[in-house]
Amino acid sequence: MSERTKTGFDSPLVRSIGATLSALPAYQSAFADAPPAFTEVGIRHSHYSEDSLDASAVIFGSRSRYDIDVTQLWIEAPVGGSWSVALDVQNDAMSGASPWFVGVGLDGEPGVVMSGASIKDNRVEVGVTTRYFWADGNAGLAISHSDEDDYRALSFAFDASWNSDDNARTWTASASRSNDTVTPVKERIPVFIDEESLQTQSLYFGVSQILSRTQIVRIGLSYTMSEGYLTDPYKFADHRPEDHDRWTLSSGYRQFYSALDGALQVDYRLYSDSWGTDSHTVEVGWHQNLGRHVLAPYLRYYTQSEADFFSPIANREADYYADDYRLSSYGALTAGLRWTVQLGDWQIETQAERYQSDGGWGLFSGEEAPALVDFWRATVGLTWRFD
Amino acid sequence: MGGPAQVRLIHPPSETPAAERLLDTVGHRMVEMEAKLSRYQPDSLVSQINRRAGSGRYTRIDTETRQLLETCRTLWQESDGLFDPTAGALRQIWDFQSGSIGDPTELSEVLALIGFEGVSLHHDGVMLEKSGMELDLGGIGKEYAADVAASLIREAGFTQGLVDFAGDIVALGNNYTGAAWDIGIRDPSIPERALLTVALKDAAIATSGGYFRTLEHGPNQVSHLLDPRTGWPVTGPSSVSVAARHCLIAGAISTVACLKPIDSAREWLERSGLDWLMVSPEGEVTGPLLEQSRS
Repeated sequence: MSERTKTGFDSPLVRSIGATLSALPAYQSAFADAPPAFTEVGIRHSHYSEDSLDASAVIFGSRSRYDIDVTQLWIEAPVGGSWSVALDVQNDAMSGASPWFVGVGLDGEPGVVMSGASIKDNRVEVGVTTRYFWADGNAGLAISHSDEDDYRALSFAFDASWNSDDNARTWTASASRSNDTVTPVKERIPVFIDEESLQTQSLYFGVSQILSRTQIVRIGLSYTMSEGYLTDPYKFADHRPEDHDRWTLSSGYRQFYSALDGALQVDYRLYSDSWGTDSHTVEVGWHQNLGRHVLAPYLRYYTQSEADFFSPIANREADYYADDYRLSSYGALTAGLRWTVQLGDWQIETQAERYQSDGGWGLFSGEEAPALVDFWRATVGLTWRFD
Repeated sequence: MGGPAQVRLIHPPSETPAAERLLDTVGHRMVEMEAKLSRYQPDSLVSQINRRAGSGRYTRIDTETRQLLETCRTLWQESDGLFDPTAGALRQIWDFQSGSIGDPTELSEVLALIGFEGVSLHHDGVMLEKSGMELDLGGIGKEYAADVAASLIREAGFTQGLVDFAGDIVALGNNYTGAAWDIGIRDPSIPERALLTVALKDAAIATSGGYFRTLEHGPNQVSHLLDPRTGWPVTGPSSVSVAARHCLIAGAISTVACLKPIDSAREWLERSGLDWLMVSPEGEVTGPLLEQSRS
């Protein structure tokens, strides 16, 4: 007998058998890289609604903020014994107003001047991913195109993962590039550019390790570099550097408790960028199996420091400046609940999430932006799997 | 299991209590699986499914049973119907458990009850659409049990052992001497004798062959391997042994090979990409395992 018994994983026949076995605990680590055993079609709709601003925070304009409806449609199918292909289509319908700039109110405090009449915009993104599976891993190539009134993006991404001999460790790497074009709409508020472009490139490297049948841990590092026009054209007082480097360290831990038929999920993310923003994200969740149902509550805490060129009222004498609340120092809490139910070959999922932010909830010092956002998000989805 | 079953663990003396607990766990799990999947046990899940055949009623099944049935469906499709768990209905004609033979002229009626397309499988339920249909998971049950036993041993942290369920074998690590486990492959013409020996480590081997159980029909001994498309015992290889990482894969590939004519069996085995050994009815031995073996 040869040192290493043949797995047959290069054989479409063995991989086809392995794909159905992979759901059983005795085979899970062996067949992690089989193509999907089924064709899957799904549709998901999310409604995102930002809370209206407090009247005291608004100097001029509507208190209402953004509402966004996102509809996603996808299909993923195995092709032969070693390939899969997926098509993703997403439509975002946005309406509402956003802060134009921050000024000084009658009370001497920073207040928001909103962008005027409610805007309506629609974005469509179409992506295709093809994936190849071999004995010890898989690799995927994705292309996507996004189009809306004032923004176009063409993106390419490549990812690959490899399993160790004992299938307990998986190494993952990915690279992506996006070429974006900004052509802001001029009919709503004054805009000072016609067309600009930016490019974003990203690298990721990570590893996950099965510690036992019930425990898995992962860690990953990503680097993203953007160059070009990075200023928000719809903000009156906004001038950002033409390059932006971002580092992210992410980690996660999962443990299944067989006595409870549930699993604990803990994730931590550390972020740092060349604009001076650092952030921490901690998320804790629980997945509870209840027959054909799964109930998953979660809680997430986020805190970030302000960008070097941020101030609540922008200093337009500086080289770079911004009053965008997304660059300010603040903390945020998210509480959510996800429920899924399996009915034969159909899966129904629903999710509700509440996000609240406050300048005083953060771990970093800094001045609070007057337009921090709070929102609700609700999602409903339907997935169908068939041979 | 339909034959002798043993699990051997190699461990330091200090781990004896843990090893004994593990063997108890494995034993209980095997009893549990047999109680669920054996068609010979009247209270098993498979027996319940068979009793409701043709009633229009689904029987609730768990994830494990569902995935095993999905695996059966994949094998049925990949083997062009040769691997068919609904061939259990042929027990009405060929009963290898009791050693009796029914009226072969009734085969056409029984064949109407065979075909995996008559199995309606949902996420948590299964139904046999025609009255008289029967499911028999014997084609993968023992091999699956061997893989589960091996998985339990690994999860408990033991790295050396041998699972042998009536000739369906999983070898973990090395044997007592620090070398790979020596596994004898039976001579189908003289089943008490080993034809040759194969060294196995962190791998499985399964053997299918007509000599395991036979019935007398006229002047002939007929094998227990039945072609579900004709209802008659097959006259393919005397035995086929396949080595793979998992016993279920090895067993499924070897079972289907035994149901094919010799040349088709060879093509099927080569298609699997696994190491195999085939013994023809004339006693000719071929396959990659022959080159790796010792007589």
